[in-house]
Amino acid sequence: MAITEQSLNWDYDGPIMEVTGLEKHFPQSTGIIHQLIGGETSHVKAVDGVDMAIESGETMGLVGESGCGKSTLGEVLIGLQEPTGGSIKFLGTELDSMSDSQRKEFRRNVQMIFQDPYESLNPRFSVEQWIREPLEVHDMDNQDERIYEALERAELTPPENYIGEHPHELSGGERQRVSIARALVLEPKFIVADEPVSMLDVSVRASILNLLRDLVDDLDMGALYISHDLSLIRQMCDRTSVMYLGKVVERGPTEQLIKGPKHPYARALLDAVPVPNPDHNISEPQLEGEPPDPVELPEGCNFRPRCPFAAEECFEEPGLDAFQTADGEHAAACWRVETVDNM
Amino acid sequence: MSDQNTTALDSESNVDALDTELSTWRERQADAWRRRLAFLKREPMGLAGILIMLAIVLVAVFAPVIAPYNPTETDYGNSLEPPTAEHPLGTDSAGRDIFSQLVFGARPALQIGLLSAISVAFVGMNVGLIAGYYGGYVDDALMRLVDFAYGIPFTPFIIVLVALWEPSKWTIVGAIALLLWRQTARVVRSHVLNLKEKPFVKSARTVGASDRRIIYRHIAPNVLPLVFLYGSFAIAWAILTEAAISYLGFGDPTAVTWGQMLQSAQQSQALARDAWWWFTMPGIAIMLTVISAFLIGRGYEEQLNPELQEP
Repeated sequence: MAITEQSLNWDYDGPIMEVTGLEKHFPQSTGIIHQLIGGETSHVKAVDGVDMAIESGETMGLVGESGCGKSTLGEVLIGLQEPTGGSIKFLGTELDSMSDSQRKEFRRNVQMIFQDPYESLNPRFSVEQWIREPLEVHDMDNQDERIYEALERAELTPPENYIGEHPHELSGGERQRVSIARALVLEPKFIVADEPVSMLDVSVRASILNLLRDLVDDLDMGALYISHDLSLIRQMCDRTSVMYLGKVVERGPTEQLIKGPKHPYARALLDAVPVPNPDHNISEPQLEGEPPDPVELPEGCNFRPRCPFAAEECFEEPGLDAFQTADGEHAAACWRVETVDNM
Repeated sequence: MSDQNTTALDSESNVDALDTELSTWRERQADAWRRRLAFLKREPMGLAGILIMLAIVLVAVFAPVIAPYNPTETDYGNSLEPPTAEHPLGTDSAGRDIFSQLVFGARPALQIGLLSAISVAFVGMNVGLIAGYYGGYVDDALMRLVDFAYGIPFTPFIIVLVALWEPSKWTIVGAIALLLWRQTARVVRSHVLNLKEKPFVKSARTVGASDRRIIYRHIAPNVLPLVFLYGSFAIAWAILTEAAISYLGFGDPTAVTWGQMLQSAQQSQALARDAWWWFTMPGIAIMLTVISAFLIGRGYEEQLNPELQEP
């Protein structure tokens, strides 16, 4: 297909989704008196300078505890929220500089699967109406066939048993499959899955995860998989980023990161994963206290106040290049990696 | 990427299956309606309300058939007759048949009630949707308008409107439309504030739905039951208002309405003349209609809000 001027650059061979220095700061509402006396507005730095690149066919995992900004990052990536700084490039084109038609193309090719299957389906839409909607919005042809195919892809088979159903007639797992079908029906090239199985029964988790993984492989999509559960990340993701207070503190190939975490926070996260062995020696939890108030971040490394290895140099903020393996694949924002490794 | 818009399709048999299934699920939708109406069995008061309302509607529609006399026809030879076989509910001081007036009075009552309900529902729903969805300055402006509408006393406002326009039932409908949307707008807005944060709205935004589509396809259907509820209460308010305004003498003196009947009974001192049939009958008619509208609204509300139901 000849690429028209308005179309996105589908021949681009760089990362399908690339963000640099991405920031999303929420202004804190302060009292009117505070504003009158000229007080500064403080900000919650939900996403604070994140660099990330995701290739087609690759699943990037994003872990971190609740409130670290991982969901916000996901929503900024797919354009649900406007970033307050940095850039987002889809197929090499800056999101900000897209024309209306490119923006529409972006909308069609970037989709999201939400966490809560009980809230993410409109209770008044039937399955068919719900999956048809994206097609109507984008004025696509062969709608019935596409709906049928998406339902089959999402393993809601036979599809004719499901199209007339309303959400309240479906189980949690089925609802999540409907969400997946809705996200897939536009044949997106990039998908964000925000804790897609955390609200589901353990018994149906595996099948949903397998489905998601197969879809990413089959359709050659790029995917960002957000979770707080490292065991799921391990099953799903090629590479993983660990997020703490709005920043990516460690990134690397999933296996490598899980077997040899470098950042003290990543180590603590991994230590917290339960081991299914009653004789396993439970180590003392390394993490103490709660994450600090995201409005008043500590000086230097964000993790310093909770870090058992904190030292003098940690008062200066480490970048993700503070530690890097030779190939640059595995990186951590910590000054003390070498020291801690030798302990 | 040329294969963006083309789909690798399955065999045609699947498409046929889809067609047949589409028709069977339309049947299933009819079932859903039956289920939705099943609440009447569980809500005997609501059912009673609907039956009374239905009876009033039938009376209004077939008024010329039911009424034995022309309600405006005077017969001074038979004035102030108590109920007899000839005049089942007696006559007024001009000899007009009370029963016939009552029957014809159902027409303006229902017209005013329904029109008011529709306009209240329409204005209130849209103001609430737009204020709640867009927030910010739009919300502030619309909500101050609501506060303003709350600040206006209802009955004096209508009397002023009647003075400005003309005494007719349309003035009353207009006044109700101008004021009573305030409550619906507030309630709808607060629900929209909640609904617009739901993931299904995010999902709609993710697929690229426009604001208009989100408001009217995703949010509005979820507040519609609530709008219906306030609409049914508006029916009751409108009928009461018409009666009150007519009774105060600001109604259309030529119209046959229940309020107008009360007004002329009062003017002719029906109470002092022991003509109880003259003022009790329209009173009962107003009461029945208002109560039935409230019962319908109440029964429906219990369906909407299970917390109101007895455990």
